[in-house]
Amino acid sequence: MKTQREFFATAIDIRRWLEADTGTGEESRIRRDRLIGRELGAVDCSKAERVLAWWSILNKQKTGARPADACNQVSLEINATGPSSDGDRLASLVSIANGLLAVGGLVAGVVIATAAFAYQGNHPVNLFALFGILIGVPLVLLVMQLVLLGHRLPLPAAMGDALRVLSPALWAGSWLERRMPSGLFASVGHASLRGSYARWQLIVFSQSFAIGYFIGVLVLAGLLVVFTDLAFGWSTTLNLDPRWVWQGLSGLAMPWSFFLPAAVPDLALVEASRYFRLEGSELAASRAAELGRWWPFVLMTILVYGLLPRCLVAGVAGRQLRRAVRRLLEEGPEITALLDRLRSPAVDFDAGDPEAPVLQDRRAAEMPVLDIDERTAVIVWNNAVEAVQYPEFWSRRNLPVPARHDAAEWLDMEAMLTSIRTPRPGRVVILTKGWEPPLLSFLDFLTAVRNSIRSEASIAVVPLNATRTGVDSSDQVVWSRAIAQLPDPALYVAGATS
Amino acid sequence: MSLPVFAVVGHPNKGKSSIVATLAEDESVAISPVPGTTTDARRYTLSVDGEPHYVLVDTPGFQRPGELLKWLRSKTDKASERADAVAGFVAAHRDDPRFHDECELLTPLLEGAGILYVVDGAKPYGPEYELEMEILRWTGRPRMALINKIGDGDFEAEWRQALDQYFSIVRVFDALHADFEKRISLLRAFAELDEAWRPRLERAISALESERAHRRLRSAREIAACLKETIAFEEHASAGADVTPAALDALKARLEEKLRQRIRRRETQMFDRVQQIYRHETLSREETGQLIQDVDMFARENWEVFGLSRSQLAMTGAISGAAAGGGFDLAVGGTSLLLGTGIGALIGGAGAWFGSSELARLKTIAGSLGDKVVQLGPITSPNFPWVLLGRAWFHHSLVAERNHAYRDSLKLAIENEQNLMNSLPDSLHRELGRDFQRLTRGELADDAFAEFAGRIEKVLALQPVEILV
Repeated sequence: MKTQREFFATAIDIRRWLEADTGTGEESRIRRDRLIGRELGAVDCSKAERVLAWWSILNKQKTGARPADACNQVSLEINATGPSSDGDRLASLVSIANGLLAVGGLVAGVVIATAAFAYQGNHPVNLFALFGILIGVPLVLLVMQLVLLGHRLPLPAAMGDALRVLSPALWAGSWLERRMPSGLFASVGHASLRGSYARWQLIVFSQSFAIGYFIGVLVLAGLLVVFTDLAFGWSTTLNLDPRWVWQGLSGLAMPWSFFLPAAVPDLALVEASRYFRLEGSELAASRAAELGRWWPFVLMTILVYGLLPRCLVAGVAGRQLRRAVRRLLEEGPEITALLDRLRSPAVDFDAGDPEAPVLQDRRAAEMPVLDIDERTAVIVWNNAVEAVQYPEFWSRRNLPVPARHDAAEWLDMEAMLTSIRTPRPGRVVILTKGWEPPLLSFLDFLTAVRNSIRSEASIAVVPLNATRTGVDSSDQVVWSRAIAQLPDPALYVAGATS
Repeated sequence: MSLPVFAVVGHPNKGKSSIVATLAEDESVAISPVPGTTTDARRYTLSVDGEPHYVLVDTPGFQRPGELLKWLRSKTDKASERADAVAGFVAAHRDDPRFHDECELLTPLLEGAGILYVVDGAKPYGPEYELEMEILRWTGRPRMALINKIGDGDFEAEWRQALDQYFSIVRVFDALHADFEKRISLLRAFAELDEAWRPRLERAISALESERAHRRLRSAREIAACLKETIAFEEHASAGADVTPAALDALKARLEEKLRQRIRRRETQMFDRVQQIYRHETLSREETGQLIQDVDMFARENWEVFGLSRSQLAMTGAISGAAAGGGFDLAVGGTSLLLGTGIGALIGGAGAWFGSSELARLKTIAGSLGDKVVQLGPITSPNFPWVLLGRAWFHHSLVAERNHAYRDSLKLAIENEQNLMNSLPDSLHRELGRDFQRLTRGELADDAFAEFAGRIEKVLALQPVEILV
């Protein structure tokens, strides 16, 4: 079974890999992932397990190992992440950051507690100030952090900056960000705290610091209690009845009053502990010993209202962090797309290698204009001009109507060729359908015409459009290119109009 | 169960390859006005999870149909021997370069393929086609005629009269402009050629329809991811310890240009990915002229067509402000007399009205060693996500309906100044507005992403092209 740290490292690596994978062609990704998806089959497993299984098979394919065949098997074998991967580095840094924060908190706790417990022997340690510094401020910061991370309240920029400075968790976040490749934190939603992982990680960071802090405070307080004499008291300018103070403190001590009554102050102690600085006198040794009786209450208060809430929050945040880490493999654009590719049938038209692109030449060259004389033989190929339209075709061009010779693939060519040989023509004009491409059968026909007439007689191929008024330039290009394939210098393409 | 195979045959240059490119969604199929571009038969197998469902065979056109038919007629005059005569022709001429194209197109038919005979209905019918149709009849294979249209002419009726005599099924299919539904309808018609092919073809159709829905969803996710990322973009620059207002303005201009460039790059990447999803990887987008894909995303035209008007923005801002203020009213149990709602609406509306033209706000944050670091972003313009979504929607609609036979670059002019976003259903408009506000505030987490992408998918299911053109 993977540890949380390993799971996190793998999750980061998978997300990073998928982000880089967006450069791979869509078709390739679909084919690759669907193949693995089919290998996984319809095994009932969670999204995260499916993603982990996919990752495992992918890595095995890369290394040539035999792929596993079910989520349950492969989810336990996800050690595909190299020791130097981004995920592993980040996981290590997160662990280091947690440790550093705990140590930093410990040091801070000792330093702050040293100041808070400062006792020169002339005045007792003010309990209100002590609790305010050691417990009140961290408690307020904890509440603010939870509220701000849970609901992004609009705060004045200065206040936001101040909170940023005060948050060790954000220091750790910035420290990590500087040590990891750019974009890594964006993948877990760190930069603007959008992702739930980032949010809970920051809360865990905070608790690491705070737990260290309270341990520091408690350790120092314990040492001071054991090795020095401490006297605690309370002071106020208000005309406050000590009974109220006692009631308040008893309320605070309620959680441990049942099993640790010695850590609950009594009314006499509360009344005896009130002091006024105006008295200005040194504490008597007997009174100092009595005021020292506060220490169990002080330690329990720090423990229950300082350390315990932080431990609880750390526990909840840790649990949420584990869920958030799991969600790194269940949610997000690339993960959703991957799951889709794993599940959806791959529809593919496989045609092997792509065909070479065709270079298109659409430039139409100048063509000589159709002209005839009395020695011109006119052939109509494939009924390009119907018989009834034939006279009009020539009269529109102010040309005499020449004799018509029909040629077509379905007609007897020999008879037609014989007819154009007598008398021998000075020129042959072939009217064709310009919108139809010149087939090889037409080129065969041209060769046959050339062979049957004098070699020096010109042959003009006249492609026509559907209205027989000219030819489209693209068709003209096609015809010119086709005719040019024949090695005949007296063969050319002519236009029906100028 | 036999695998359906369809050989696309016919005269050269009548759109056989275009039909194959469209049906096989393959932009690599060579298409050219030059006859004889296809010289060898090429098979395109539709597979679902590796299992072939049907095969399309692109073939060269007939080049010497007269000679071929003459040869066939010389071999037999019995109808029962015609198919054998065709086989005999191929066997006799397999190595004859003069009949290479004929052998290539007849071979799949001899192997059992159905015939899809393609003609151009925009050009007049001619009797020379009867040679080809007669040869195909000799093969004895089930056959369908497809009237493709390459150009503006209309000779469909003329063609139908001729084709009806040789083919039991005659369909019109515009290979360049047929939408997905028409392509599916054609596949269904293929099943009519042979009942044995129907189950596989039905499965293929079902897979294609499912694939179609997936593509839209995948595109929606790409667009949603692009929106999420771009809105969070930030640009930073060091401003030194003491920065003058003029220097700050210059810095802001520089950062804004960098931010715009970054957004443009990400948008281009998103367009490319959507095209990949629809197998239009090499489709170019028009880069010059007054065309929609060229008009810079920050140009006024885009913001007018795809964004919200200032009053719409103010209204949207007021509604969200009122909602936030309403939360306060609820929290105090209504004792505020709806003051929170009113003030929230005022602040939200005014903020949207006056801040609508600003892309992102400039912030000065403390840097190391006393330096000031200037940060532009994330994007705060309430109109930005609408413009980006509008362009993505428009681009998607062009790509999704685009045929793989159509090789011109992607372009469409804005001829109608009507605002595109007004055509969205009100509920969808409101939900997207809320999503955009959460995005702008950086509050759209991964777990809400799927719903957001789902709403974008609903947008993509609508047709913006009809609105704009």
